[in-house]
Amino acid sequence: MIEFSNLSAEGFMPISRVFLTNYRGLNISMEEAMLVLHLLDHSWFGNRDFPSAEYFAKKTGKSGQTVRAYLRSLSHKGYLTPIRNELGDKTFDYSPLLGALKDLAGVPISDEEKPKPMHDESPKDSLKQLIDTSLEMAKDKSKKRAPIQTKPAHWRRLQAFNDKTPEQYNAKDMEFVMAQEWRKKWQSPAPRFFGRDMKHTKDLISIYGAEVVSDVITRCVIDWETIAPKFNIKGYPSMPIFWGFRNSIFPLMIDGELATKPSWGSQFTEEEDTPEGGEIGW
Amino acid sequence: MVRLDSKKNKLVLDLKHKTGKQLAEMVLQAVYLYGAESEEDKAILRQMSRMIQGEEPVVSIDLKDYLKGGNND
Repeated sequence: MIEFSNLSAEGFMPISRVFLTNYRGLNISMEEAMLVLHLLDHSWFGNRDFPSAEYFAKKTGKSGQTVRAYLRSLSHKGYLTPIRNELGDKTFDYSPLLGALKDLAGVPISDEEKPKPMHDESPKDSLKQLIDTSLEMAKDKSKKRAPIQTKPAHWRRLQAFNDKTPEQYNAKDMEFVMAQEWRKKWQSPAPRFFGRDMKHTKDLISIYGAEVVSDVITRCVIDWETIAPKFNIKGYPSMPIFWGFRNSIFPLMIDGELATKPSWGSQFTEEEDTPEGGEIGW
Repeated sequence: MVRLDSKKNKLVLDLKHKTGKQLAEMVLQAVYLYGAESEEDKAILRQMSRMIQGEEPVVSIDLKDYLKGGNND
């Protein structure tokens, strides 16, 4: 005998398998996915209006603050659009989220349903590159997977970097500067800046200024094949190398004499400078 | 509650049973969430839901008439 009546008392909710199998690809975390399911359920039962954070908090058992963090994260990813309702209260429009699902399913979508990441009306390629770079850097190498970024601080940092000009960059931003060039050149995750690297970057910025440091790092990564042999450097560019060669690479690059001035070790290769019997010393 | 009609090739949900109503509601919700494109589409699905729940008199409606392309089954 099929005993079903008690289970069916509350009814059922259809979940698209397109969403279940692809939410990770949409950069939606498991917690956010659960929030999305509650949202979809609410849209059928309730009204078109977006439910309050307290509604989600009550359903999920999370605090209102946590729920708001998830909502902000979804908003930064472009799946929710912050709007004001008739009463002037802050709320969200979730048509971009449904648009993303339809897009995954291959259904043609209208312009207003297209996700607009980070509130940008026309996402530029540079912003996409920045997001991809930051996610790549966040990869956990030991587990070979990219953790889903749900912390709003991560997206705020990207937004801040994107809004800055090179002279406003700080030590953390230099990590992105290097990573972006690195990714363009080698298509691999760039080295992260840890405590000591951050200190060295900060010191370099205080010595040469953020714009110069950013420019030197960029040019070094671009021309690494010519710069590395010139300074007899074995390995890839990294902050310890920039710090170690700060008194040679930086002045030469600032003066534009990198190609003409002799650099470390180059005097030993030119044998004509040391004629027979002309050695200096005892 | 749920009956498979082999002759007509149809799955029939009996709306006299509460479970049948809930299952029908789920089907409508699936169309509403993932298929409806305009407010009119959503309105008709909501109306069907109200009919199923007994809040409105039941009339025969075929969603086929509202689907893109007309006669798609």
